[in-house]
Amino acid sequence: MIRRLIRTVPSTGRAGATLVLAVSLGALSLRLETSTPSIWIWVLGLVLSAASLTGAPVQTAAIACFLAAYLVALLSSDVGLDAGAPLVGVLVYLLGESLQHDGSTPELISPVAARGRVWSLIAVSGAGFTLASLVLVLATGAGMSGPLAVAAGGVVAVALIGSVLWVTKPLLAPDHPAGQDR
Amino acid sequence: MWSQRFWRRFPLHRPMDSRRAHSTPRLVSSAILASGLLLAALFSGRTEPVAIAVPILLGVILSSLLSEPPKPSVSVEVDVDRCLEGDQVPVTIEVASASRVHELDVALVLPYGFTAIGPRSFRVKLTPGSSERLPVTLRAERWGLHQVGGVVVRAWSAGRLVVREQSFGSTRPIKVFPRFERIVAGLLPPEPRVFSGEYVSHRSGPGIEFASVREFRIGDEVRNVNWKVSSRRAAIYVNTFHPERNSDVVLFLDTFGDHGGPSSPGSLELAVRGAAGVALHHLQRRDRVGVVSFGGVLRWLPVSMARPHVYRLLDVLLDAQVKFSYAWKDIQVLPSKTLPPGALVVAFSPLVDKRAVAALSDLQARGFSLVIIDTLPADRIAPSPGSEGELAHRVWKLQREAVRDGFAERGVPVVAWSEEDFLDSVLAVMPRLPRIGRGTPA
Repeated sequence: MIRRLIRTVPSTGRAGATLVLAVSLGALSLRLETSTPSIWIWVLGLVLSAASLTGAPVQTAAIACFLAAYLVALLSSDVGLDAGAPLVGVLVYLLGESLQHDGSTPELISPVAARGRVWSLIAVSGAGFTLASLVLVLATGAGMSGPLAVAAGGVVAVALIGSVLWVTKPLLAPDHPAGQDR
Repeated sequence: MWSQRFWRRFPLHRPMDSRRAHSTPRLVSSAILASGLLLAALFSGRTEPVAIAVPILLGVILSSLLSEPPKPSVSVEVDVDRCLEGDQVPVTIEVASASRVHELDVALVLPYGFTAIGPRSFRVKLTPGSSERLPVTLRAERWGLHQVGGVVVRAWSAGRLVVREQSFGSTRPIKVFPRFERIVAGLLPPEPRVFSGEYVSHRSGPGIEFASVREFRIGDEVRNVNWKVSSRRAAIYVNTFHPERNSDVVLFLDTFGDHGGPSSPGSLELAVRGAAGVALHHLQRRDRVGVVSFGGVLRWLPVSMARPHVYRLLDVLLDAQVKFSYAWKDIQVLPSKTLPPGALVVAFSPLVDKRAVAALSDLQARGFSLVIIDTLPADRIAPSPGSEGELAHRVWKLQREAVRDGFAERGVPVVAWSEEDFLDSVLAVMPRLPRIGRGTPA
């Protein structure tokens, strides 16, 4: 039994992963446009990420800064359609996982639970990259731009938000009755 | 901001409402980021923000689809029901679930008086029908009656979007007995009683210890005749002996307060340890031992030397605790059997509360042989900062010295005992108790 329990991932692993993801997002942003606002917003995101790793409650703000840096660079550039957007989405998802702080971390994590967590990250990253690329391909193939692209984005948005609401509603419903206690 | 406030309200060891699931800060932040990206796509007229939002939303959707309400069941096994201070207590938590649980955090609630050796919180994954046995080792740090076995579980959905927490409160009582102070010499009671024991009585009677020689009287045994003396005198002389008798010992615990420094055991803890050691020492010498817990709550146990009496004594000592009370108490409320005449009263008291000091003075005035063990050395209490604190501390020390000197003038030995010293060495330097005969003023 004891052999099945391993120590938690050291905090240095989280810090290293966060740094790699932040630098990758910065590179993806700066290759579009090295404008000063984009660089400063990226630096702010880096600082907030470091603060989040030490316990400050700024995870969402840090991720928003990285996204803002990319969007500013995207809108400032002359690129018609950036093929790196799906990769940005996957990196942002993984950055959210690395900055996630779930309060008190258990002292021991079983390898089965740890492996399950890793596989779920890989599955969502792969499927997300594929689906995001599909969205871009469809938009390119349909030749959508301007108001047409906005309308298509709106349809996708409604579909996705509706799906989220539909599948999460049963999870948030109260249980009847409370769990057994023995 | 969301996560810190959320987890401050729901730390792992304080259960949240188990009737519903709680959305985690991750779900909220995912929704905010995805909504912001979609709005950015709408206003910018570009498709890239939608592509960026897809993995975030997909994570939420897939996690929600793969999750189901968990149904964990927990049982706790504790192998021991009594132990000594410092002993290790193995605890095994068995968790099982009828449904899939992607991540289940299990934590044993640490009871007061125990510390954990090694981990006591775990994260496991459960499939339907599977179970996990999680070992936890606790160390009993403080004597008393403790409840062990409370468990809190926190079940995460896939992707940690939703969390449910539940506590399982079925506990088992464990008696932790105090670490006994080993006593070798102990106290010599001045007034032995009538039953056979290990103390040489000053009276004459059947025994081994030679006392004196006197003339023969009707009823004396022939084997006690001292032929050497009788051959030199014109009469028959016999040897007399001192009989071996036992004694009555009453342990008096002052439980009006528990005083001490922040990093040292309190006066009550010392008192219980010392009382347990003295009780065991005298019970082994076939003395009758009783105990009085004198404080906000009065408890007493009449003297006895029966074999089960050890456990009754320890139960009374384990129940000794401080209950704050303004009521004035004196020893008249105690039944007469609790304080048999001629008993040796060994009092463990910090000599702080006036009620306890008055009760001890009353005991001495009633003719009991009294010994006071001061469980609060003066250097244990640090003065408050400032000149006024220093002055108050000096006055307090003078008052305590006056109390101790008052007892000493009346022939009551008072010795100080701290955790650095062995109680046996403290008792060894105690002066011999004066014998109080019938009619002798106290």
